[in-house]
Amino acid sequence: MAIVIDRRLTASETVVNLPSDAFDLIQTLHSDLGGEQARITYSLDKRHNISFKTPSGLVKQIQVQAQIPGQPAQRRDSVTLALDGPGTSIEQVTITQVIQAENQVENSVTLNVES
Amino acid sequence: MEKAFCRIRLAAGLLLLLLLASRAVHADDTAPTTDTDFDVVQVDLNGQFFNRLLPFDVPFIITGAVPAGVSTLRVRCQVLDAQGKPEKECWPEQVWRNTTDPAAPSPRFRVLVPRLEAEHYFQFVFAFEKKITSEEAQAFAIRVAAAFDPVLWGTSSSSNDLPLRGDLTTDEVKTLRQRLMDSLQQVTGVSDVATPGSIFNSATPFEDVRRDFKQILLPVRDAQGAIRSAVATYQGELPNLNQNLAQLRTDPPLIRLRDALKSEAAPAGSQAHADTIDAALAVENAPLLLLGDPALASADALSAFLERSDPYYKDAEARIGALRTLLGNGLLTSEGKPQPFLGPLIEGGRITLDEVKTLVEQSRPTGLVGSIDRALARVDGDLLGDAGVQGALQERSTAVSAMAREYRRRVENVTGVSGSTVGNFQTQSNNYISADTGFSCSPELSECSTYVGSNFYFAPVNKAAPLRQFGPFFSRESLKRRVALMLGLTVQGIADDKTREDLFGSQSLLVGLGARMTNSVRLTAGALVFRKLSPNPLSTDKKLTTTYFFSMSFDIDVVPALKGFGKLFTP
Repeated sequence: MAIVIDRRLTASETVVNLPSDAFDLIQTLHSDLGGEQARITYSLDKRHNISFKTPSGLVKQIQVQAQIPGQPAQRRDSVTLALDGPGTSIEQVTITQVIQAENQVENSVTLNVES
Repeated sequence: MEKAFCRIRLAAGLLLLLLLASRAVHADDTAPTTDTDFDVVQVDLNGQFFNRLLPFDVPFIITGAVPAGVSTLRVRCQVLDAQGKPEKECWPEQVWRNTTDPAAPSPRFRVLVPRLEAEHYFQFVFAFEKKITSEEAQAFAIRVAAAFDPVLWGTSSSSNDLPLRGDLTTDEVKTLRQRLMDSLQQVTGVSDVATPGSIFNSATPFEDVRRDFKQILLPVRDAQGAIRSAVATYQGELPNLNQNLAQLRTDPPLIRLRDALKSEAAPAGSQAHADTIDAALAVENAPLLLLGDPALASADALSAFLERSDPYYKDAEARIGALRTLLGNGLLTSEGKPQPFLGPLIEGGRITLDEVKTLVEQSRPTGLVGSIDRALARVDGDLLGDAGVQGALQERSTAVSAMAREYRRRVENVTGVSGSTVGNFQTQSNNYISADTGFSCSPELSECSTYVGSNFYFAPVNKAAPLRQFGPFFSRESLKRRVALMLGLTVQGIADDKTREDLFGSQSLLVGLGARMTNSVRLTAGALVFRKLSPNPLSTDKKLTTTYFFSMSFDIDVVPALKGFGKLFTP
């Protein structure tokens, strides 16, 4: 089973204040097998102290199970960013996405951080 | 008779004195180089040099070419200390304003600057202001795009992980700013802008510059992140794809089918199917794009790789697509029976029905041929699709253009400043000695005589500089330029052959201390050195003795005089 990116990953916000409000990661995908299950992982670099804010706490990685249809469809995953610890010198943060299905697809989006 | 001869010599001396005095009045060893009364010094702001040693003690004109469009030019002069560091300003900043059309071609400036001290080192700083035109801003934008492109992409010397994405490093920001300023200077001649907070203003704090760069360059870096992701996806697909292609080339049922279709038993028209299989088996491995690949060294190199790869994918997709169609739709009827052209081949044992069914299965999406067909379409999209490398490269190119447009907007019609420090220069300093000629009288001898003397100053003297500008007569600055030790020889002898005779033949020595009353007229007092004869007529004793004298003299320009003298001997 294989995933095809029709429109690459973007974010509904290009600049975020920390802690951020929830914003969407948007992309258009389809499966060239007429539909398939995929595991989507969003990651942040471990060298800085910006994390995803989730109900279970601050994490560097979020995983989502998704059913990818056979026709191109826009997908939105909502995330929130927050600081894990005091201050940061980071002014841009890159969110990396890996979609694991029959194939492995990578994607990323970079946001400006308002300090 | 002897007295008459003495008078004739005195008259001749006076005549010579008048001639020299007249020469002295017009003498000037720092003659102006133009039709003004001021010395003119040419400056080359590009080469950063003056065309001559700087004059001292007199105001002078500095002139030179300035870039077109310059509205104002400011000249600063700094006195340097022994270590070559600026110690103080020579004079208040001098300003030239372009009162003619600033857009006129090849403009030149002329600034009258105050006098400089002798024997000092100076540093000149020229700063001009000009408005950056629309054409210059456009040319700047083009240059910025070209200059930024490689820096933003990254270099293989620092990382194989190209293109770079995400945060800009401090080194990158510094390099980018330097390239930005260099581009601005190369295109417009401006090295700074006056706008507070502008990244083109050298006074803007580095952190502000860094933040500004990040905002403007985010779309470029984001697109580069997308390029890297698409490349990573492509790299992830290739091992499977190429492995499947290798498997296809040796797939036994497919090769048996091809051979059967080529055999004598095959009915007419089977060769076309055999050719379809041959064409698919001839598909080579997909082009690799590995970490550290030269194709990742720059956006242009990657574009070239895409261009090279495009025919491969078009061709491979067409060949594998045709094979998949043949296997999926061309071997079995809708009822699941072999197509008529396969009948003789199955009956002849050249291929089995099971093998045919296996080949049909291979055309399914998860079968070998179906997988290759889908993978080729995906990988083609990873590389050449809008959401793949090609699209991200285009996005990056658009972002670079937008960045260049933004910088163009920021400099257009902005007043820019350009600084040009014109090296370290020394003023003239060898004018310690001057010559004069005058008329000296020795009261004790009741004698007057013309003489020629040399004056040794305690500091360099520019005789073109009016003495009154150095303050009161007895001020230090004034006395330094007026007082000199004088050493001279009388033109007429003072000998009377009874009581005295000259020190050398028919000339005696004058030693004194003089002061210039005006630029050319000097009063001197000192000692006249001669030989005193013994009053005893039988004695030949001669005693070296002196008497005081007073003199009035005129400075003469010894160098032009000597040059003129030299010409007499030129053939």
